[in-house]
Amino acid sequence: MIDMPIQEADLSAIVIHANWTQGALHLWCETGSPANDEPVQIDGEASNSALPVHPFACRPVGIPGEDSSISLRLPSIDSQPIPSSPMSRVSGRDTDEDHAAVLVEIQVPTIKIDAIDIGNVLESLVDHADHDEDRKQRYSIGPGITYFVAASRLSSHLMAGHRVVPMLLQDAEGELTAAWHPWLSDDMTASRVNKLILSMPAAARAAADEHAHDAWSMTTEFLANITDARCRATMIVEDMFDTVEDADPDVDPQVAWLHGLLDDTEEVPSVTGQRADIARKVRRWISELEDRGESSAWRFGMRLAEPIEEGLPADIAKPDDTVLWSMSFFLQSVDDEEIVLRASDIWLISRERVVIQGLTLENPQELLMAELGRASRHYKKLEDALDSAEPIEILLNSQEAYQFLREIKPILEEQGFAVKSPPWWESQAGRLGARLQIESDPADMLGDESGDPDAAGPTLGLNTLIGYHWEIAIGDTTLTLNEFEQLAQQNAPLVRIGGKWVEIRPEDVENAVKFIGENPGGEMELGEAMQLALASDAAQTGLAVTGVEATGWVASLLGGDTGGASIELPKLETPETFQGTLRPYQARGMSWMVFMERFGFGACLADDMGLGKTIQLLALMMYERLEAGDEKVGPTLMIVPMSVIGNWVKEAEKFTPSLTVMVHHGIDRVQGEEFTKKAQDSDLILTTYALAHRDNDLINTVNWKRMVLDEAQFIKNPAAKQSQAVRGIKVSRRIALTGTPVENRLSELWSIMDFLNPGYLGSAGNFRKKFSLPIERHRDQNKMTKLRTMVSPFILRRVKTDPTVVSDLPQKIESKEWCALTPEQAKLYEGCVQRMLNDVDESEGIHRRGLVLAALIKLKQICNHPAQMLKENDPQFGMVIDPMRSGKCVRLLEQVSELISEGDQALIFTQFRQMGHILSTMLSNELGKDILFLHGGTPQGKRQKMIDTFQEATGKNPILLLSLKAGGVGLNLTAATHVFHFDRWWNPAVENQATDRAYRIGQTRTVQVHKYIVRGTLEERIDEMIESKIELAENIIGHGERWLTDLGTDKLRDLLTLRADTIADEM
Amino acid sequence: MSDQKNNPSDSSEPKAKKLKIDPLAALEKAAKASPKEMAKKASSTTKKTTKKRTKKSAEKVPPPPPPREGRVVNVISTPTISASVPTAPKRIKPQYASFRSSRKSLVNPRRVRGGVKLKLKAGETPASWITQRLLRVAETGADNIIYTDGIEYARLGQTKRLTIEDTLCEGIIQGRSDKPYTTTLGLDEFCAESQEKIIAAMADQVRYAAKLLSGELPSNIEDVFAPLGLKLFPAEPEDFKPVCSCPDWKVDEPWCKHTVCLTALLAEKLGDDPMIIFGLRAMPGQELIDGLRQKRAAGVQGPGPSPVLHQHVPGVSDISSPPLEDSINSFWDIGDGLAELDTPIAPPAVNCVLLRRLGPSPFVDGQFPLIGLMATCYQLIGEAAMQAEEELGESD
Repeated sequence: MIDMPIQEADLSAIVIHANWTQGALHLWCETGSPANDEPVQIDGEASNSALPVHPFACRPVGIPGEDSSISLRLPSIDSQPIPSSPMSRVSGRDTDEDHAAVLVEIQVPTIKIDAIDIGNVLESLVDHADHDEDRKQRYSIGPGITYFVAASRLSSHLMAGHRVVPMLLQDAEGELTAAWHPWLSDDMTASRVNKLILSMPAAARAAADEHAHDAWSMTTEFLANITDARCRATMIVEDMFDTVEDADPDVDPQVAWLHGLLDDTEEVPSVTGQRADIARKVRRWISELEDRGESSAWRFGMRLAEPIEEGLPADIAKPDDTVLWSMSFFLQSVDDEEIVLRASDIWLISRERVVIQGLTLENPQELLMAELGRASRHYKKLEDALDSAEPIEILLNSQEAYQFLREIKPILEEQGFAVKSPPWWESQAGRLGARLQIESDPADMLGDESGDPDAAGPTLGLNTLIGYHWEIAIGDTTLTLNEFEQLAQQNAPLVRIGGKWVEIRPEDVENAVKFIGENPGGEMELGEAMQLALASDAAQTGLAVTGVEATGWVASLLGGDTGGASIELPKLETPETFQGTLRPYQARGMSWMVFMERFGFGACLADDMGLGKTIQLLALMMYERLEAGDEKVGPTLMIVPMSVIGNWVKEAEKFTPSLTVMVHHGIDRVQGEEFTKKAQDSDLILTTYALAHRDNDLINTVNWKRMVLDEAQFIKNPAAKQSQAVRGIKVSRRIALTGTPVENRLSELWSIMDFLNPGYLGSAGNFRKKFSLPIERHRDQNKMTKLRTMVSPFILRRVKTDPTVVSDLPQKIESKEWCALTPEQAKLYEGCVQRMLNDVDESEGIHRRGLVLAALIKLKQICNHPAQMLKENDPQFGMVIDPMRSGKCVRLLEQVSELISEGDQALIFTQFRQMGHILSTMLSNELGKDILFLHGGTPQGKRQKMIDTFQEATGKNPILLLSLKAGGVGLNLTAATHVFHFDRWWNPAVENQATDRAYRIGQTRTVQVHKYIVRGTLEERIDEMIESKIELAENIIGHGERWLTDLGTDKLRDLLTLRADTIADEM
Repeated sequence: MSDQKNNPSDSSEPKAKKLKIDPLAALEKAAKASPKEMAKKASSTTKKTTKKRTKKSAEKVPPPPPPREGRVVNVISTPTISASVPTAPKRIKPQYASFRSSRKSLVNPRRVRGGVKLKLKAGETPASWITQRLLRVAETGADNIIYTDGIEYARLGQTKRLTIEDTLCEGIIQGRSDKPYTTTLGLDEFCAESQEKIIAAMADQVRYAAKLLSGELPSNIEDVFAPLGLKLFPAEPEDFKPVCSCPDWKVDEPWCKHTVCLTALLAEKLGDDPMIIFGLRAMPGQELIDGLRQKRAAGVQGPGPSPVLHQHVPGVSDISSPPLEDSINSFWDIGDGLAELDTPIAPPAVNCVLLRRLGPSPFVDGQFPLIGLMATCYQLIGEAAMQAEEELGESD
């Protein structure tokens, strides 16, 4: 483990960069302020001393390696290197002028890492940065690190897959050395290498050296170095050198070569006269790997066909040696694999040339013979065919056919030959495995829950014991014990069962016997059964688990493989007492939650933002109250981020006014028995994640019906106190709401699943080893699929583009986002109101109006962010303002990061250019993306460029900030599906014009409009007036804020005074 | 030079005749003449040319003079046949879209059979940074519609003949009228003094020499030229001197369909064989390489050990990265491919598959069981990689 790579005293931002040069990986730190008052003295190479030294670079501390220095060519202005883009993001720097930069060669102090340590050092750096949950990180990772981490992982991948070659090297004097090199030119690897190298950031190839900034040249040297270091280390650990120690390298050049591969020195002892010969032989040998017949437009192929059936197929036919498989030859067009010329035809047609479907084939007979010869080098059996003057095919017995399929086929394919095997080969359907049979009662979710639902809680769930037994099956065909025994006796790898050929690996039969013996069936917990059936590893069970079959409610749970959405459940209607109508998909969501709760499963509703998760949950509460009739239903504990408390209160008021809602937060929140009693009598108790931890004991005094986590990603860090506190609350029914695609964020997924269904995914550590690491580090698709299958029954996620959802959605969804004031905002707000009220009392006319107007603007600014009113941000300093000081900013960041994770784009409108600047640096810092900001001062040319960039929708610039009356400019911004009004114009017409930028011709998706309102402030009051349209006629509103200035002092006081219950005690 | 190999129809021409200008002679001449004289000469030549052009533009510009007797002309009359153009890296986005698709070109010239065609398809980004850069130059210089039409001409194969003669690129391009137009592209020549400096600068640096010697153009080649106030490849419209005999051509608006068409073809040609540029700058590439080879053999140290077999990965190993300068606006950006790169750590489906493909040891007389030992090594290496991954997971 590596310590923080910077000095303790240094508190400024740090970005770590990596470059490969001088035959080693170099790490260096870029700092936000000059690294030293004194110019850094770089020792060593005198040749570089003429170069200027990077003023913002320093050597990382705490990383094992050697002090060094390198020269880089970096974008600079006035010979000063400009900050990297990660650094600009962290420091909120304006990058407008950066296009004027030119490359300047500059010296940088570095730490040079030993090749053998590179993997560990890089992974530690990445882990450190990844696990820095609270974004208080002291350093971030530059693109060079990311790149070389990927390259290092590629090296591990190739080593694990045996894709390295022993290489021989020769220097200018003819001296020989040896090394282990990764083999890159096979198709699968080549496509990976291609992706890697074409992604190389310019920064990572900025070193001024003999590679001439060439990505291929640098990367292959890097790969060769780390691969050799790792392989060599293994050879040394295993004492492989001992095997050649007694042999004489002078007698046998193989021994000489091995000396260079197995020892810690690369030298290949050889005498001058031999070297050319050795080099030539090794070159020719290795070049065999590249000899894949690629120069030809035609490739040689073999087709293996099953023996022709004689007589009726027996149930299990024992293949004897008289049964012969035929392997026939053909030539195939490389460009169009459909075009095939069989050997039997080739011997009948013209010698010189054939034309098939416009493709010419010269000397087909010659090519066939030559390629057959080449193939026979890899498969000796083909030499039989060479005895024939006109070879067409060879015949194999079953044993040989099996050996060919298992061992030879992959090799021939890699060498560029075509191999056609029978379709059942390598299909799941042809493999011996175990199937799990689970029996459970029929699903009857509409039936009443017996007994008091609150007292004992659900009796089912993942801990339920279910009856099960195992069956041996081949694909979908279950074998009887008798059949299986027959199979086991045959001891043949390829057998025919019921007329179908299947592969029976001898080890599989053995394992199956053992497996059935050890697993006679009986009862086990459902969770355990699901883990076995969905995510077991053949390496652990000894036998592939090929499927699960269930009856009853378990079958409903397992549903299809596309997750909760596919479960066919009776759809419940919108509860009558619910003040509104559920859209069809919302009714399905509510029904699903009812089902999951009925059978005791924790459920995660993960619909896209804007699809109405709140409404579905509220409807569920109404549904159960209708079901319960007169009986009192226990309270639901709802844990939410501070920023959305207001929204919940407002939505409950609107849709479920009959529910008693209690908000538990603030300094004067009720405590002790009063809390217990009040909560027990309420329906919905809202509290925050912070209080769930602080008031944990108090919360546990209530007998909860269920607990719901809103924005459940808040517990993504399993070790955080809040997450632990939440998991510790005693309640059996658990629901999580989240809009982020949880399947893609693994620590979050584990945390939420462990909250919902404790233990199902195993311990955090096991989960990390089994799933997180392979998936996150190596994008292991296999593991990803397993994990998805395991969690999908518990997650219902609909996205806006789902066909079933789209048809239910209107073109535009408007919603108000109710935000809270932070204590700092509240204090400023109250002070401002007081001062103004005092002042206006003493003034009149224009002066009074001016006072009111000035105060109103200040109040709006305070609602936006205290820093705006206090003018803390001077764009010149590019300071990043803390978002936690403003309720609106917190909410905005939550919503924006959610929509970005869904791949959406957004427009954010603010009236104030200054607020635009604050938001721009804040968002780019938090999101790590460059933010487009269009304001009145943006020149026309740049304006168009920004709009084009945004409309291109590459995902790199998903946010466009605007601070202008958008109605005046002909902007078409249909790439946005979200529109935020960060502050209000108090003029619906202006707002609608702005909204229409995204919601206009060309827009094919639903547009969501979010209007930000701070509760308890003038923003809420004015919103009420606009809504009521009674006190405020359109024409009055049309005049902006003028009307406000004419209000009497009492009215003003009434309008502006802060309402007490609306202040957040913390965010 | 690869002109030869790209030009089957021309293969009868003896290779030795191909290069008329003898750079060694030119160098000798340069050495004899005093630098001052050379500079004077160079500048006066430039002036003269400019004057001549201006004068010409007053009236109808006649087509450029036909090739003089005795000069060797490299005629490229048929389109070259070559492997498919590898797709360029995604992240390299030219500042201007190379082919605007906003308007469908409506050109309707008299069609030409067997003309020189642009291989690049619509919407494709050229693989070579050189092609990208030259197309960008034409796009910057020409009016939007003219550019689109010119590219369409190039793609249709309207160019009856394309010749690169010493320092001049000439095309005979068929438009709508009966007779084809004669179009030329000229570049400023490097004077002898500059040439000397360039060779000296390159020879000093191993990286240039090594690349050039292997017949490849180093991607940061412009670094040698920039300090001398020179550019090897045109970067601005002004760096070209396009002339055309068509009625649309004007001195102050020299970019017509035909000049765009010719530039596109030249751009692609230079992308395939960048060494041609030296000829266009009056500095033939082979001589440059010879000069470098001599200098290097004399002084510069050779590179370290090099593998007996260099591996190939189509699409990357055979293409130089774009110059660092061209990435200045995306200097810190990682390409999209990295997010898709999967590197699962798993044992192979077939053990030691490479070893099996390699077959028996290359040393037939050797007594030592090399392949058997290698198989053990592969097992150990594979297990070590799996083990290291496990430990990495546990250490956190």
